[in-house]
Amino acid sequence: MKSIKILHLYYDLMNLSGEDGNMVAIRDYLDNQNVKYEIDRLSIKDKIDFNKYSLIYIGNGSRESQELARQDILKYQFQLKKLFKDKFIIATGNSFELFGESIDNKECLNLLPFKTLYLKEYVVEEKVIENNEVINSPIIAFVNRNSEAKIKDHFFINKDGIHVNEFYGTYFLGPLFIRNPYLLNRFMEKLFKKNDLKIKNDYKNVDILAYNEYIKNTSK
Amino acid sequence: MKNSLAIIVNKTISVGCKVLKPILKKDGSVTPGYYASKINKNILNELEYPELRIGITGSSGKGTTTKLVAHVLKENGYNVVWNKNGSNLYNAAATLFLNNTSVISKKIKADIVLMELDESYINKVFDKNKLTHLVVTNLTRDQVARNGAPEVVYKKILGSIDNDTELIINGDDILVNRFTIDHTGKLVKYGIAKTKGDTSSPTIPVDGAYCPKCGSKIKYNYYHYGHLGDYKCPKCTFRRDPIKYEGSNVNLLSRTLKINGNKVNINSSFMFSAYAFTAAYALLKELGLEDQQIIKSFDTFSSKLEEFPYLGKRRIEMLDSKHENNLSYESSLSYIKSMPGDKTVIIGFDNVSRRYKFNDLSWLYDINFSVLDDKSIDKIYVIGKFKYDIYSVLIHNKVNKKKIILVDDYRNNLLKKIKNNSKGNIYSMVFVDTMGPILESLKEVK
Repeated sequence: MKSIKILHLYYDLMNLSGEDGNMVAIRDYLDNQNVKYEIDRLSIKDKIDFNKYSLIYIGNGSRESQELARQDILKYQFQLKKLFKDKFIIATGNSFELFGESIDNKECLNLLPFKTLYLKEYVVEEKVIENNEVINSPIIAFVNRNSEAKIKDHFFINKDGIHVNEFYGTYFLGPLFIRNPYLLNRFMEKLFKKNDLKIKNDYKNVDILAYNEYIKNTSK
Repeated sequence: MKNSLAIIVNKTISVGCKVLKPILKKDGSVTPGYYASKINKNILNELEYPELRIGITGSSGKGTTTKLVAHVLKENGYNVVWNKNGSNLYNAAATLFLNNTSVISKKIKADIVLMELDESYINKVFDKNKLTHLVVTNLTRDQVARNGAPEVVYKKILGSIDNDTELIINGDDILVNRFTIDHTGKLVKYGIAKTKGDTSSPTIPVDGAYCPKCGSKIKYNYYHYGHLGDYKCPKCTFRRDPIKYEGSNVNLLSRTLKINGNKVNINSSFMFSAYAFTAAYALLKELGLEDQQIIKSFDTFSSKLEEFPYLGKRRIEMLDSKHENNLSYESSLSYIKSMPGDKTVIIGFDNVSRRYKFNDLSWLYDINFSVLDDKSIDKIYVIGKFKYDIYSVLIHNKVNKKKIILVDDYRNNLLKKIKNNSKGNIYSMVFVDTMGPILESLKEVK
């Protein structure tokens, strides 16, 4: 059986908000589907061949961690530019800013058409996005950022983040796939399709109970 | 005149709060300072402080360390003004200081001012009269929605002190050790030597994985827990050592360790207790106290027996469940696992925070809940509004599903259910919002 290769990029830097939970959600999903997979955790100083991976995930980090990641990822600018059109990338929290033109006027990968500016204050929000174009269910989101990407179009979830080709970037941070099992399912459908695999429909996600309870409590 | 009025108002409201405490259900530790500050918002800058102004701060452990230091100082004859109730924001400090200030001379009547301080409020409380000594216990992810990342907190502390402040820092904490780069005043380090429970790899996401001086990946010899341990940068001079005051021979079950050749009895089986005693020792030595004075008072502090409620013969321990602080939370889980015999665990909450309305659950995935996947854990009762979220994190951490019991209404006789369906001592890891009903149900079951 073919093995799905996943890269958890900057796992030891961009992990401020329980982002490991997203890899746990993906791992348990793949275990339940009984498919073979490998998750590589790579970071600064590792030599990375992005071509090997069906999915690349990066999480949220502090401003200093993001800066270390920014300096490192620039050396892959050429490689990433070549594969950006087809590569399935999910970036949560401030990590998606690395793919824009600049952060606080410092050079970034320049694969997406936006600049990021630092904010003086933090923007902290907890919300449920009822109507969205990504899935047919509400999305539970938590935001905690002190920067702003000046995105004009190609938003990902309503007015948040960016979706271009197979790149999905969002300011929603933390264990997004744990808290949003339907969103995870949507992304796993995509991953399976890219690997010519079929999802078994009898899968019962343990996180559905928490999701339903949260939606019920917030709609009161 | 304005300052005298502020002091009188503070003292008068404090007396009023004391008298009306049974009705108001508040101890008046904040309100008097609030009104005094309305009269003069800079009142704390205009008092005459004692020569020694000591602060103890950090993401966790500051309360215990402060209590311990106050106890030793008082036993050794010092007159100490300190925030014994733990209130550590500006108005609480104003209340405390003004209640101990002469209306005429504006002088605080004490040898030493000792404060457990919120990292974000040091600058506000000790603005003009900077601290002479500051202990930094640790810096971890702690209420990130309020505080931001640990590096933000670090910068706030750094901006609150000057070169005249002597720092006494936990050298085991790589994030705290950053002061050795940025603080040009006096600095000493304390730490804990290798223990039996140390690991060679981290059990949770580690902050400060890269050198704050040169950006290289840090190499650890061992981890005590989280990012605390023995480390050094392979490329530059940044490292844990030298440690001036080191705790060694830590035995958490017998509650002992050695500091500077002295056997020290600590007051609990938590690793943070070992740290609190080592931190207190370091500070007290820097203040000039002798070993004998310190160790004798440590013993009287530790000999105070904790009183636990019982369910029949089963002891109930209500542990501190510090939300949004992965190291503190995981320490409590590890403590439960380390205790002898079978155990029943109660875990859960209705609210994430008492300070704000956000229910950020990210921190749950920064904790290694697999600690609870242990044969000594008989049952885990999961309670509260977020019980399904906790259930999820336990399942994702491979905790045996059969041991997990989801409780729909924990306010309805929870301990009776526990009494009949589980065994071993009971360890409660619930948030303060859910503690009351559990203890109430103890009356019913008795």
